[in-house]
Amino acid sequence: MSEPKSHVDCENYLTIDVFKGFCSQGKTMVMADDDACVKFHPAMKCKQCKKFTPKEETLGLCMNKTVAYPEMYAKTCDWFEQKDPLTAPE
Amino acid sequence: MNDGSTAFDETSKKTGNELGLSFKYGISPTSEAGYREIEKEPCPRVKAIRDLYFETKSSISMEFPYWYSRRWFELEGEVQIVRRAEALKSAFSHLTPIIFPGELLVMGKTHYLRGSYPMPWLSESFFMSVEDEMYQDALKAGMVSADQVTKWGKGGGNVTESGGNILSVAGKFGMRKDELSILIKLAHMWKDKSVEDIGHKYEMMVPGYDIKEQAMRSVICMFDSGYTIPQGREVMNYYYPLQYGIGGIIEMCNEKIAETAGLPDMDRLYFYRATIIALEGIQRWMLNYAKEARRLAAIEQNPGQKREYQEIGDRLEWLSEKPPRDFHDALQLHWTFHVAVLNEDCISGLSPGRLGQVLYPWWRRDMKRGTLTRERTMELLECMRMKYTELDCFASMGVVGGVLSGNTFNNVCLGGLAKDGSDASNELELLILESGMTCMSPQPTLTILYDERTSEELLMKGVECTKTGTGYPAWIGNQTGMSFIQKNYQDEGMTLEEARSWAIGGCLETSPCSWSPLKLDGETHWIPGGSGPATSVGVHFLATPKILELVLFDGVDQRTGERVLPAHGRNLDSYEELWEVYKEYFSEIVRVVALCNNIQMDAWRKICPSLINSLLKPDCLTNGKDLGQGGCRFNTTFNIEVCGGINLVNSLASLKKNVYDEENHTLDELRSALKANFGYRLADEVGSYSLIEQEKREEELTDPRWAKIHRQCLDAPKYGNDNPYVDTILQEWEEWLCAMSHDYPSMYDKPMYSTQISVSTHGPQGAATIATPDGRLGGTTYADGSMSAYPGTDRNGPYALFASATCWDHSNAQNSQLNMKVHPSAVRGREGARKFLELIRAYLRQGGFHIQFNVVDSKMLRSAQEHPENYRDLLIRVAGFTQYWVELSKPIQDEVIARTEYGEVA
Repeated sequence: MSEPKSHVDCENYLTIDVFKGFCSQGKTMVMADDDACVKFHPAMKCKQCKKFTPKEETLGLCMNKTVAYPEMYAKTCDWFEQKDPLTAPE
Repeated sequence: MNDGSTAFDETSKKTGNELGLSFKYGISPTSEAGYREIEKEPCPRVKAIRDLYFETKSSISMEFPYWYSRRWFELEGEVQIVRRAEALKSAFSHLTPIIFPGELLVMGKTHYLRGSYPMPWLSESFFMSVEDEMYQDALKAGMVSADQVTKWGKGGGNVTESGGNILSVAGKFGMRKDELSILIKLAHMWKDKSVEDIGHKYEMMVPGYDIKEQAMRSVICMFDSGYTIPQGREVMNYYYPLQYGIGGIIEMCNEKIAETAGLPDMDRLYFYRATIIALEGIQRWMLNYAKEARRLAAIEQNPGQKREYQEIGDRLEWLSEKPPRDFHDALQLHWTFHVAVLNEDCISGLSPGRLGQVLYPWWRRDMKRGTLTRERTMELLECMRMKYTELDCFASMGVVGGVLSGNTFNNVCLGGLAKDGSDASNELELLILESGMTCMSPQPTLTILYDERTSEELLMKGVECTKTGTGYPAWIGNQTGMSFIQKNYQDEGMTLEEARSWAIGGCLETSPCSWSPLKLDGETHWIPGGSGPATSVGVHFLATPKILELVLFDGVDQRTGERVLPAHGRNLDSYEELWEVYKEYFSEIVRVVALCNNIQMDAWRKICPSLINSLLKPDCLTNGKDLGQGGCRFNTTFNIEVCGGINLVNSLASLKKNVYDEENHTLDELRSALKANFGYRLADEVGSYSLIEQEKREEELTDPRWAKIHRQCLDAPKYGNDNPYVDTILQEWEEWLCAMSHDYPSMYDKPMYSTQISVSTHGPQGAATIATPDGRLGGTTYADGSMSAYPGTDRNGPYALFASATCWDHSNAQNSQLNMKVHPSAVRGREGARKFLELIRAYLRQGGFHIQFNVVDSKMLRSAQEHPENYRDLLIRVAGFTQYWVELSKPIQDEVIARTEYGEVA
């Protein structure tokens, strides 16, 4: 069983502010930390990248040398490589 | 003459009226509290965007600072300006693009709708916990003292409390908890390398540095310059990207590199190379948005929205290289560069300037071709208003809250004169005014440069807009502004013709501009644009009544008990002696603070030179110098800002009359009464910050003499009543201040000038000041602006106020500021509008620089204070800016409520 996923980790989530965003699939406002729906598709974030190594709860290393943080969006990062298989919440 | 005695309403039960103050002038209005004559709505698309905005909280993202810092620390040893450019390029290239449905203009500071971010390369101590050594050091140096007396509005988009996964930062910004560690990490990486730390290291070498530190701790000076908001209060210039496109500018830089490489003055080579790198970052940023637009188009089912996403993608791809093809392109490109500059530094007051005149050539062409309609123009202009309104600026609490009230001060000017001296107003400017009425929002704020040649149509449209109660447009005397520009920049070659191009940067900062020849379809249009760096850096807001407190108490701050200045040891036996000591104290503070801030600004230009703003400003690209190196055409741009001038003048008048002329009380008796707050509780104890509502202490704790002295202080002549006794004092103060400001050299080795606006500083600086000899109570706000009367003391009508305000030459200062509150019934209908325009004309013709109105019923403001949930969209003018009522702090709300309400303007 996979971990429940939050809207904030979904590719369809357009950030409005730190609390909430807009779902580009469902066309509705959603709360960042609420559970995502079946259309969940993981957003490209450092924590989803093969080159990211977690070190502490909210910090890690990029390519084993530069500090980075797991929740950072990586859509624009040339080095990003998807780590996990795509999963939807059960 | 109306003494206001018949105009009291329910406030008569409050302290203010017990004190003999009148918060109304003229007949009592009969309309309902919520009445507003003009109410309009934006188009449905923009209404949806605005509704979303109302739901949005200010949010911090760490994306930009992360990528900036990462690249910066990778490039140790690189030429500084190139290193800076690479860091900016990295940051822009990695910003996550977000596009919302319905948007016609896209791109923002961060991936949040109302996003901003800290810049630890400017300042990092603020991000530390209060226990951290770095924070404690900052506290000692007075760098965070203003934070401690600053209050925030509790509503709107402010995140005032932490909870769940969200942290409240500085009482305004929300931050996701999972980004805190990286913020702290970056802050530590920048320790001893930031502008704040480097500047501080060297400013301590200024003789008398401890005075500066004490001035900061006592909040006599509101904030430092170099690491807070080092750019802004200036006018943007969009000419190069509009004329040549980004590709064209890169080509120009490559040609310059070929001309300069290896030749003396090698800094030019690095500047051009850095400019190219920064532009490549902007290109990548635009292309990332284009890619996102296409991604959204691919999954969009609605055909209309799908087409709009595709058009956004096509437009951004085109503009990432080439100049605009039409009005929509030009509007998007101006916005892209506006945000790009805002992202390169911590900036408030970056004004688009005379945008309607800059974009007019495309608009006129599109209208002639029939490819654009007025309806579509309105839709685009309303979208633009929302983009500007979404802007946030992240700085310390004292700066963002205490000075800016969360506002970002993007000012669009209308009217003024064209290069040949004719009226410059146009049809597009009428639509800009109209969009300010249909889409009422704080940004961009609007200003009319009133000239005798300005078209009546624009003026009447401006009056109509003022009557909506938004607080804009501001009304500025064009000739007064031009006169300052000509005098201040004459040594740098300013001509009458060039002076006509001027505009307001920030809220009211008169800024030098120039004309550029925009060629479109073989026709040349001379468009105005900013041609100087930030016009409001240097000495930021000296609390003039607080300095009087030091004079009266021999250099000791009565709030903190700390010594700020060496004891003067004088008896102050005469008014003349007191005034001399005041000038000595004031001058000494200016001397030290100005020198320290020059050092900070020097650290800024060395550590994070401006690149994007520089490439836009004539003549940086021509001469190969960034604006910190004097690359702009005009550089006499440092200022000495003051706050509380009217309380100072009223206090001097009271001292002169009561202590020296009539000997109603002695100086010692007055000191005793001031220290005891005339027997009243302090504002913070009562939770009220104007004189409308205050509480006396228990009788056993008060001395009856204090009430008598207070009465004498309140009865002393007050500014704003055409009374020569006090106006002469104002005149003497102004003439001295304007002249002495020129005695201090800026970082550019140019004379400084005086700036006379309050923004929101009259709140926290009032909070830091004990009772004053004019009868103001301790901790209450000062009078706003610089020409506004102290609330409840202007009793002789608007024209008496104007006579007092114009007793000195406003063109000797960068600005002055007069705000008035007018009841809607006083300017109702066509006849009311005419009277209103005559009122404005009268002031500006007398030589007034600026006048601004809140057309609002005070009853509505009181209701809004009690029930903020019903007033999310209520806009109020404070002092040079319009803000949502619910986002203003209580001290500022109280002050606006207390302002004298004019029930008639004839």
